[in-house]
Amino acid sequence: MASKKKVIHDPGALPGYAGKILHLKLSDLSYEVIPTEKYRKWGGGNGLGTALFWDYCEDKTLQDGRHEKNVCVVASSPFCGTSVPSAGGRCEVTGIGYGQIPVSWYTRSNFGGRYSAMMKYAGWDAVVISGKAPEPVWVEVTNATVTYHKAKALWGKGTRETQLAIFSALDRENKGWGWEPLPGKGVEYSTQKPAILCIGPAGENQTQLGSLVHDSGNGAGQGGFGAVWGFKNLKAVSFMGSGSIKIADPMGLVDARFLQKEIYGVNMEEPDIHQWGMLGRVFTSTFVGLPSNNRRAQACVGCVMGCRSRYDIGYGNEVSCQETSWYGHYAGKYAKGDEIEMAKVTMQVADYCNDLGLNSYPFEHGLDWLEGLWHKGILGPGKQIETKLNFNEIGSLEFGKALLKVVAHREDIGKDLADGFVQTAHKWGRKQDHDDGTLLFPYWGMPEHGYDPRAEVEWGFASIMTDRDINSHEFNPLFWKPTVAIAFGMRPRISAEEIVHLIAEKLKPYVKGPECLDFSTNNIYSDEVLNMTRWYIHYSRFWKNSALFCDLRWADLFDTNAPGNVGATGDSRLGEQVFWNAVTGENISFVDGLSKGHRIYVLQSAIWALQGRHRDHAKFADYIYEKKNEEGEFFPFYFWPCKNEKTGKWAYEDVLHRHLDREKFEEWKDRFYKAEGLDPKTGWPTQKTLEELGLEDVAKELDAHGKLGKEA
Amino acid sequence: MQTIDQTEARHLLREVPYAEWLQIGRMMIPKGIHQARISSLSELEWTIRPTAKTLVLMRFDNLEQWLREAVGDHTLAETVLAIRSRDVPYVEQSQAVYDAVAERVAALKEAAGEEEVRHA
Amino acid sequence: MPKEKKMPNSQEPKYGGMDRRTFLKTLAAAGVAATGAGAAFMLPGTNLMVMPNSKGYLVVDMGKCMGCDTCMMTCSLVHHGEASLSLSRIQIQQDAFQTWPNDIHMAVCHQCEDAPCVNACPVEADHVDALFGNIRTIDPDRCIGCTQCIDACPWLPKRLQWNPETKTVQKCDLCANTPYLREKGGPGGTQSCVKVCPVGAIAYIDKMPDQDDPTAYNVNLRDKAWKSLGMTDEPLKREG
Repeated sequence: MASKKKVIHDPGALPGYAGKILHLKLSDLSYEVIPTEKYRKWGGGNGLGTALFWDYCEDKTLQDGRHEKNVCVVASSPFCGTSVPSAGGRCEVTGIGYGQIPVSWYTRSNFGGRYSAMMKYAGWDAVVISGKAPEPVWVEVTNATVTYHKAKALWGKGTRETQLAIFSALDRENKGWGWEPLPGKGVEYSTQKPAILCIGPAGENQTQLGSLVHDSGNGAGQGGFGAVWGFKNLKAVSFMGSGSIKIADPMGLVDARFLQKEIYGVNMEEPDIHQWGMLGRVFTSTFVGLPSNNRRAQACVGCVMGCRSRYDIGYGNEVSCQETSWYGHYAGKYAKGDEIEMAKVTMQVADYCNDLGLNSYPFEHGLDWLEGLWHKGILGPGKQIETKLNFNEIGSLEFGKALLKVVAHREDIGKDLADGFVQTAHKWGRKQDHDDGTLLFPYWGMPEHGYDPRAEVEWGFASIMTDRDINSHEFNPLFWKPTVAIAFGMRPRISAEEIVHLIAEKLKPYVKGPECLDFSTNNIYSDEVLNMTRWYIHYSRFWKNSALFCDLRWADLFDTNAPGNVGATGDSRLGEQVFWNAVTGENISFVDGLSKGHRIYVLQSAIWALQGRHRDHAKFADYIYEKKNEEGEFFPFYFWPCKNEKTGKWAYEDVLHRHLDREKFEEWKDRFYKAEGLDPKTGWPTQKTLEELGLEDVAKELDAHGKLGKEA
Repeated sequence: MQTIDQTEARHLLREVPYAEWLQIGRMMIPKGIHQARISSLSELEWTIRPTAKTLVLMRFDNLEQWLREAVGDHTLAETVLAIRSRDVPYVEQSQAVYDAVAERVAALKEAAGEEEVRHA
Repeated sequence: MPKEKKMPNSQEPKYGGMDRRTFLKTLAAAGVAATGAGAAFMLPGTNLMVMPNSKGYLVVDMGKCMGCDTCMMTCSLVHHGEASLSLSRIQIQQDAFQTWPNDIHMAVCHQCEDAPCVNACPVEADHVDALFGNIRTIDPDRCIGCTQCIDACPWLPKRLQWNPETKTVQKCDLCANTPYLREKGGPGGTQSCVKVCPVGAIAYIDKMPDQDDPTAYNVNLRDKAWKSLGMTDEPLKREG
């Protein structure tokens, strides 16, 4: 029976937000509450974290994140804990990292699961972490109650054991209802487990590969934030919440979610595995066969189709993607091609990696390099570089675990590798390996993602003009969709001509037309490609890293699930801004979000300037400029839309067989900086730009340090 | 089919020195291209075995050169050359190459007495 | 991880030596039934309420659920205009460290044939609503927040929720009372959790599941299409 009382909707003062930010002051084990209102204009996630860093970091000149004055922020967004499609469960980590070259920049990482949602339900939008605890601690946040606990008993434990121990510690007496009573307005209840973010031995030992891990397989890997927490003596932060998130237009949100499923959702009766697009894609991202199909697809909060799995085999839960590729071939070789054995070993090694709290990405190319040194007689027992690791056993479960363990514990060659692979190459007198691409780490001392910067230029350009492997897949389907289709002799589902027009529409007003996607060698340094790169950075900074749409589902620039193959991005019914406005009650356009992304990027540029960054730092490893990716090339083609200069016709063309031009790229940078409002001589923000963005106080601080950019 | 001498079979199945390992790419969407190195015909066989999980994309010219110069299997190299010249989609060529490699490895193993031959 | 477990009720009164359910079945066999149309009524001379069966039920597939919580968030949105897990009338519990299929438990209200929560309510707030297909639901204006209905629910976790804002109890009403759902809810209408679930792990049926089988609400909703995605379509072997 319905209530006879009239329903009056209360969206709250800050719809979408919890309203409070938790500041953990580790040095004296205290905390304070920061009102979110002041930071609302930064959105959430990365923008929120960067603004908080600016205000709370007392020394922004730091070049190594392992410092008391470094401020690490773990931030949600208005979408977290809501049903916005594939945006309810991501969480952003920001701060000065550890392990990049030449300097550990102010950087970011991101992870999924349910942590940011639980943070919001507990009544918090973000947690700011400053100082350094006098001894190892973990922090329990249960609704409004914040408690520091000693973590001596947890220190040394893997991430799995740590979380299980905290689950057990927080298991309270209940009335026999199966619902945990929590502190709250009256007594509040939850059936859920706490959501915990923690470090393992890799973070405790402050390795560059130290990551933050949540549940079984969600990890913030890049940036070395595990080392930052390890330095700060912070083992874990647990959130448990029973509250609600006020929504400005709940009916609008529900309608939009239903419509998203109707138009873009996976058709579960006839899944279209050859779908082109992001939002409607069907995939499970593991790259080994599975010992068992007894599993479920497992999703982050609010996702439209889970990309991870949980299995009945006792290991491998939530392991996915790169975690299952880096050791796969070695395991297969050791198993003499036995695919089941290969899968078992790969999944167990990935599990162990997560348990150690280790980022596996650097091993993707790093292990190949190490194996090469072994075979060249440089690495091994009694060799120039001494190790007890037996590379004859590479591919075995034992070797995989032994390698990860020495890095996590800074033992054996792990003493050096823990500070980064490129750093190790330099230390071992192997700088040339980095320069010539033997060690495929093209940007900031970080491994190439899998998309060569000489071919897929926007990925490399954006990585270099920011602070790390950008890891943002907006345009990436333009490579693998046609490449797979052509390899299989299939007609690409969307022609090159159609796809570039579909996408260019979404990129306006940044670009004039589809030429922004023409990656012919004569066009890659053009203004249009430059503006596409700017769109890319702004989109990822706001809509992805701040609003927290998931990178594996957004941007949806084209989608064969929808009429006319039109993607959901920027759409008037289902675009990013529709969800933002429904949740927050604001009235921003899709392009307004990109402007916010620009603002965030400029503020980050200011931080980098204070850290000592100069435009001369923004360069690729030498091999990107000097070697065409056909020497030692192993991949036959890399298709991308290109426009024929003579005929004007569009086609998917192979964009391998080239390197970048150092001079042309430097000239491109001049134009990029100008377009962003940065001084092309230095890369620093100018007074005018900062004033236009309402960042006068930032201009003052830059000026005081002699780091204010000059007007062109 | 031509009879294969046991000694020759063992020689062709050996692991070649590291400097001669063949590089191939495995495309793993959405992670990217993963590089792998191939040290022997056996390893080639299971690596390029078609699966649903990865798309192995290799340069057939590199493969042919590797077969001739590193492995010394001119018979298989000629087969690959012939497949390369077919006007069919890449994946069909790839499947044909795999079939030829699988057949060859099976024959070599039988001739070799099915012993694993490793090169020091 | 909680299992679909029914708590024994040691204080259940006996009728002619029979427990309530058996007695009601006896009545039904004798034609003294309240199935189908018609309101609940008290059997004269007893304190025994005879309830017509609900016209709708939710069933779930605990092997299929992705754990995305979209059903929970949507449930609280359509009922309260807020996103919340604690206010959701369907509960999905997860343990990332458990093995499939025991890593997820889906708790839906059973719309019990002889609903203990209805029987327990001293003010008839928790009642059988003839206007909405005999759903067992709570009138928010009558509820006094005594929580006896929650105590009476035989399932774990309890299928009724305490609302700390209103200080009343709520439960699944098959979306009958959803001021933020544009469409009509209730039996014959839309159930938001069913509609929004991306993989179809929840279904609405009108045939009452076997009340003597604690696993009857956990069904196999996986099919050949699911199998084609590389996941089993076999019935589950769960701990509960």
